[in-house]
Amino acid sequence: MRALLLLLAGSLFCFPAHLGAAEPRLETNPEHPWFGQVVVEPLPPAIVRGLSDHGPLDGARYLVVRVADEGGELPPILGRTVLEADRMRFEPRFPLAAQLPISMEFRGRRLARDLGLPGLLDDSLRSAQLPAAPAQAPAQVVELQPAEKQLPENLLRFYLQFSRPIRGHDLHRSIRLVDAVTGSEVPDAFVEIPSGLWDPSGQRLTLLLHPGRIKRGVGPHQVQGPPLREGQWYRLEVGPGLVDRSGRPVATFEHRFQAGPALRRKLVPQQWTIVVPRNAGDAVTIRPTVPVDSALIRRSLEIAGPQGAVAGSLEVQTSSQIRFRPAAGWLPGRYEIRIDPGLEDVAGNRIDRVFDLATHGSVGDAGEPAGAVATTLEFRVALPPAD
Amino acid sequence: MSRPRISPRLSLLVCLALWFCSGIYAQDDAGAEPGIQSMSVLTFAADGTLFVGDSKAATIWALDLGERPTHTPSERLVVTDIETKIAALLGTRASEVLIHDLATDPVSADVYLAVSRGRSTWDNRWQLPNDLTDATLLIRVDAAGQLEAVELSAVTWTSGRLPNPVAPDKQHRWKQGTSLRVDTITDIAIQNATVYVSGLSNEEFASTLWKLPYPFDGQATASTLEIFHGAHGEYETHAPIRTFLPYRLEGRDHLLAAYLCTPLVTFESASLAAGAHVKGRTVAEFGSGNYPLDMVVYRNQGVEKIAIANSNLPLMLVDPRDIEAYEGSITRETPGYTEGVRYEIRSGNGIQQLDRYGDEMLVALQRLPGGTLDLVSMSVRRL
Repeated sequence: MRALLLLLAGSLFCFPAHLGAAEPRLETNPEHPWFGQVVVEPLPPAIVRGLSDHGPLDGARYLVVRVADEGGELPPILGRTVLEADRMRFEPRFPLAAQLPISMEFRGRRLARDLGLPGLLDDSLRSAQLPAAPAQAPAQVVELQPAEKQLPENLLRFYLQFSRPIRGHDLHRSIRLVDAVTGSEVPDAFVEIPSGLWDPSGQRLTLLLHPGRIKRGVGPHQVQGPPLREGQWYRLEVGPGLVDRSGRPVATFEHRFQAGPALRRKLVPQQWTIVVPRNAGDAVTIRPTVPVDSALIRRSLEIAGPQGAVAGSLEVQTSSQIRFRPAAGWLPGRYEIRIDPGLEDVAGNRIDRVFDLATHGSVGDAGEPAGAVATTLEFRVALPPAD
Repeated sequence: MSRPRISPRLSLLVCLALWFCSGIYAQDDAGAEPGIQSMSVLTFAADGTLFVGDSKAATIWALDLGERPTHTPSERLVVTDIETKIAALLGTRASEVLIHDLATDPVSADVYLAVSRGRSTWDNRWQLPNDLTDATLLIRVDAAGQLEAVELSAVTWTSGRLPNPVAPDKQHRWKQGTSLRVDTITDIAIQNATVYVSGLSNEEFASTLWKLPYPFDGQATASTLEIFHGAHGEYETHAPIRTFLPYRLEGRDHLLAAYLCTPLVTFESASLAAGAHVKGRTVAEFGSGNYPLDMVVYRNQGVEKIAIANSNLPLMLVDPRDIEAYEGSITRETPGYTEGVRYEIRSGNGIQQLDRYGDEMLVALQRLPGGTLDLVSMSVRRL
């Protein structure tokens, strides 16, 4: 009798605790804070036993998660409800949106009734909000080429490499060439292409300085003159207004440089300096006599050795210093650097022709195109003897 | 259905051989979910088979949606602000919801939608849904306007692969960061046990029309297409058909096709032979700066008309008899961007998707001035 009383007292004491404890709450994964799932715990042991005895139940009957709205007519969020030990968990099919308000309805009475344990659970309706998306550093310019402090006044292109894909609208309101002394914008410096000249990833932008203003003897050059003047200082500015593909502002950026003498000579790779690797794992360093186009050089150089084409990585450290490191190391022997005739320096001059062929007066070594053939430079690798 | 027993190794070899032979098909993989990568285009055949054009996988999936009651719609269908309701299913906001295509089941009259969560990345007025992301969710809307996700694991399917689709690394000329691959499949139509597929192949003349016999048990063929586009004043072989439908003109089967900046072109079906380079006849220029989005034939009091939904122009109605009566072919630049077969306009700005809804109605997804996207049916009698 005493034992029975104790059991009754215990039941009376514990029952409300069970009723109050099994409530839905939002649980967010710390690694992906915007991803939420809803859990109901702890389920009373009798319910857990009942669930395991009963076999599969349709979890959607007992735990309904919706986007919160005033009318309450929106369909439940797609997902699945699973039973894990002493808890019920709703896992949405797609990650929930940041700061989304949700309602979580646990139909405990129905579950208890379906399990033949009426009264053991209560209904519960709760609301919650998904946390904000983690702050992300703004997209920024991670590389500018050419990056030299002095650039020829007939420079043809800049390349801006961004850390994330950028939205290509109204670029020329945000990206400007400015006279560093007066602070005034150089008008019509760039060819204005509405959505910009982007690589497929949307991260590298080519800024084309107006070739008509650079090329002597054509109308824009005669009327407006070149955008850069030898001896003057300029700033290339990425100002406010530029946004990434998610609409977040891009960090501002500026590069100060001075315009130097124009480059109007053919490329002469035979005059370039080659720093020969001393060890099998060293890079070969190539130093052109003039800054070369950093995008073109990446696809214009090929290294061939005793066993044919050499696979490796090309690093354009500056427009005047390029390093190539072979993937599998060097072998002793003779190597060739093959340079495609399509390579240009930063002013558009190639091995076989000058970009800006003067129409009168001295033309230096401009001359006529020599024909499109690859130029080959040689170097020899002599490795130290092995220990 | 009983099947002969084939060893797994032989099956694998046969499957690999079929896969690599262009235009031959992988068959129903019993119990497995179809490996759809992108629901670029949805089209129903008259028997209720749902064809899903998958540009990423360069594959046409034919889905058997199973037994379902036949329903002839008589009531209006109205689902206001459908993006908010889809967002509720997806656990996100309406601003993220992107509907890539719509098709009405001719059996149940349920409306099917190909959906993704990619709208917030839209940043260019020329972008179409497939330019932004891949639709991977199929949603069914019943006559009562209730939405539910279609579980693809529950459907049986077959598939046909398109030979020589445009390579994924080919970039669109003026849509920044857009692979041409998204336009491998721009529209599908089924007629006489043939699946017609418009889109881009990897040929130099990329605009292509594939024909696949259905059921998928034969060789796919491809024809490259060329048209004269009066608004641009030039021949075009790169821009794909945006929407088309088979139609019989002067007693012969044709395809009626509409392109960006809205030339309307006819191709005689018999000319679409394997490997042929086919020149279309441009019969109309409907206006520049516009994507034709969907073309639907309907019958109002016994008279057939063609309705064309547009991205930047109103809903257009074209009388096929005017196309038959038009004898010329536009081969010179069109001043003022419009020429040829006439069209009437109807109230229908902002219609982004259009299909039939029974015989008496059309169904549209329409962006209303208030900003919401509504799924609405409209009686053909009012057109």
